[in-house]
Amino acid sequence: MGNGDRVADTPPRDRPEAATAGGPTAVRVPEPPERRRGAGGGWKRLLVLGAFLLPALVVLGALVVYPILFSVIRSLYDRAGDAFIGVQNYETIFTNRQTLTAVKNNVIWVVFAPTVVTALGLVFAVLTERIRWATAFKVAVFMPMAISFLATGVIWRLIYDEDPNKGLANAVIQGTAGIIRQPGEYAGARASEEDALRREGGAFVTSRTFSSGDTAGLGLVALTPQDLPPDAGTAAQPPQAPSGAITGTVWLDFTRGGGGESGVVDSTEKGLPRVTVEAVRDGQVAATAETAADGTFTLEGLEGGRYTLRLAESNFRPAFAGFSWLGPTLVTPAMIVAYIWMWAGFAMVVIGAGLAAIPRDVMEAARVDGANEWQVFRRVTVPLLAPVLAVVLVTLAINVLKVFDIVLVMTSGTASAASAEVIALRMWKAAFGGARDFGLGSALAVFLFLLVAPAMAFNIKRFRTEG
Amino acid sequence: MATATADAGTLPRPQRRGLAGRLVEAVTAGPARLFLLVVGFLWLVPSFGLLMASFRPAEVQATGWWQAFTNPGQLTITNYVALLEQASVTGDFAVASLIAVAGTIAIAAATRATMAEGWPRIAGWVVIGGLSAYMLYSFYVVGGIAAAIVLAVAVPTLVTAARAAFEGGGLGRLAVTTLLVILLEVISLIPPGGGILTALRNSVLITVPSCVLLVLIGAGAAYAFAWVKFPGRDIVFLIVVALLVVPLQVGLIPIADLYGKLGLFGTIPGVVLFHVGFGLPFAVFLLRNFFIGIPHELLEAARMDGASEWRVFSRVVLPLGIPAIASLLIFQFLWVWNDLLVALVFAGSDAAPLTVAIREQLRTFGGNIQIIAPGAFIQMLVPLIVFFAFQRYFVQGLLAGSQR
Repeated sequence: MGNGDRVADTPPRDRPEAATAGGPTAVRVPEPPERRRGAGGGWKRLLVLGAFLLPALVVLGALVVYPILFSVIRSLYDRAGDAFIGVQNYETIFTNRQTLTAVKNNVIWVVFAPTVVTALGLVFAVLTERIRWATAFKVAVFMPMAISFLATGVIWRLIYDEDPNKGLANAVIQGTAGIIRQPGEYAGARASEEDALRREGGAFVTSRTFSSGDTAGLGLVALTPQDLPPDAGTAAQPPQAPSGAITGTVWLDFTRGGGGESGVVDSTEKGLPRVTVEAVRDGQVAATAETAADGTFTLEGLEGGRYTLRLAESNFRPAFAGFSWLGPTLVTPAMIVAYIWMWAGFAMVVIGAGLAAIPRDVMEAARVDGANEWQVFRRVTVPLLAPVLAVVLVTLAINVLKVFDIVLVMTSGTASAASAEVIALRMWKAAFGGARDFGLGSALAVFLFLLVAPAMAFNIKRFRTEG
Repeated sequence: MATATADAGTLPRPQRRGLAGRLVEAVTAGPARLFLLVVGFLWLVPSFGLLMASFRPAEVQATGWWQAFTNPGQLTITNYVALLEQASVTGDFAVASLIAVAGTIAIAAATRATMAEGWPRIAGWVVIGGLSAYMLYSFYVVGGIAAAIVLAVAVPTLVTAARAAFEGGGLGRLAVTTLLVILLEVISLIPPGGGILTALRNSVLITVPSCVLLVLIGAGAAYAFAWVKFPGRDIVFLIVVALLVVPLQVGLIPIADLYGKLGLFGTIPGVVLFHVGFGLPFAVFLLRNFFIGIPHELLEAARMDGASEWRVFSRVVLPLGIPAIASLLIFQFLWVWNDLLVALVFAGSDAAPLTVAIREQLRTFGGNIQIIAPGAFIQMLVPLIVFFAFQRYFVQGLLAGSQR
């Protein structure tokens, strides 16, 4: 800001450094000499001045200055504007649960969003300096700046959908997680006789113990025939156990259309292939086997002693259900990511312009002195960019304080609509939602204004020093 | 990286670098390049997802848009056709659209002919004036005041483009402008009650006048602040600078109250006026800082020749200020087109722009993707076109400091 005098005579493409926001090299343009006109020109001059200035002053006065005063006064009155209640509305901001949530969320936004955006912008600006296809990259990152908060919200709601079949974020996580931790084939199964086969963690453990030569029937239910793998064959009776072995069948203890006896392998019931069965003694796994297509298994190498049988947890591990990104716990960080996507380009472009204005020889001198790239960045580039970084941070902080649309769009109709609110959204809901509380609404607006006021001082100070 | 050394040549750095230096550069540039490639890709995926989703009909929305890669048959224009069908195209609309198309082409041709040698200028201007008046009248009859305002904006644009096309000899610019103007006119004539399409019309009717009004009012004030001495000028301008960051939330309640008394609440002019008010500090700030950089000899010379203040403004300052005005126009356009809050408060259901119409559908997000996705895509396509066409001015405006 305050650099219009430099932009004026130079198209930005030719001299990008001309557009350094807040750069230290402002050129002072001489004031126009006072015009001398004959007496009698006074009235005419006033008229001309009025024609140029008055429309703007009237609009600014009526639509910006008057509302500030009106809001301050209105915030001291109650909901309907009949009774003077002093600072009660301001007390409400810090005592009411809803407004407090909004203030807290705004703090999270203001702390994280501007810093991450600025840091990313700095990294992008520095890295693109030496890349030939930098323009393509810059366009890709900068493009979201032209998109509305509304469209951004819609775009990211598509990404954040909780169902991994629909939401890209969860689909990617499911895809990578599936490689590391395969979901079990029989997620959701229950034991058919729950006192014989207990659930323990994710696994199933028999209540009784078995010894060499015993056979075990381990029936499961709560799986539909469609859940079964295609190679599941008709369940077979456990084979005769040889010495030193325990045999058994793991099967779906459910006969379609009714009939069938619980705990008994009936003729039409299906075996469950590829279930890992373990024989456990004193917490140690003594033998492991996998069921065949008919559900039978043979645990071998078991000499004397009694064993409990366990169906391993990996068979029943539930599939990844998807993070609920827009649920109450993750919603604010998730929205900040969307905001970063939108604004990183802004930071990149402004910082990039600042970078272009830094004299090359300073960095080159540092390199000649033996500084490596990181030292040049840390000790030369960043300090020289400090004024630009400050401008970007302040601009983003102001913007983030007023964040509204993205929260409204991304939470509307979800369970986190109440817990993700920010001040601007609460203000709108208080004043124009059902409550029609213009007193509290005005107080919230004035509160926002007060939060932005330091930036106002920053602007004026910068303007006065730079002209 | 094989290209690392080639890249180094494009940078203004000493050519003589040791082998070690080049090696370090190759090692550091490789990962950086990969990183940027990945980031650039990541940055494009979200928008691309919306584009894909907007072309997938309701039946397949239970699965993600990437399924269309393996099954391209899922991509159809059904959703967009459904949006078009919402608007009942009335006879009036058809007639007025024809007038708009024919009239605009006629105006472009007449203006261009007028500029040619051998044509009596006055006759040309009479033709242009007559056509404009007739179109204005028919727009007023069919589309109401707002549509007439859009036309009043469109005609001068067209005339200017035609003149420029003649002087520069290029027809391309004239053709593009004519098409744009026709598009604006036809959109502004869409009848009410047409769902998303009517909302598109309202977006145009809100955005175009607010841009033009802002430039008219802002440029005048900026000129006064830059080049007319008056007592208290610096103080008043500092106040304008201070107003730059006033959150528009401060304006909502008081102006809702004011509009209620004036009968502007819920109307398009009400929304337009609000945008002009809160756009003014930035407009005055941007333009004043630009105007003050104009060499004062130019202004003094014009004044010596006896030019009036108005003439200096319109013949010297405005033409020189076109880059800044372009920045301002793009900013205001994007700002107003993309606005949700102001329209949510001040636009009634008949005046609701696209953003408000889409947000209405959001309550049941999952079930309405086939309406939301194409709507949102149209909503974002318009600013993207503006962005790509005028990127340079957009960046210029950003750097001049937008803190809204």
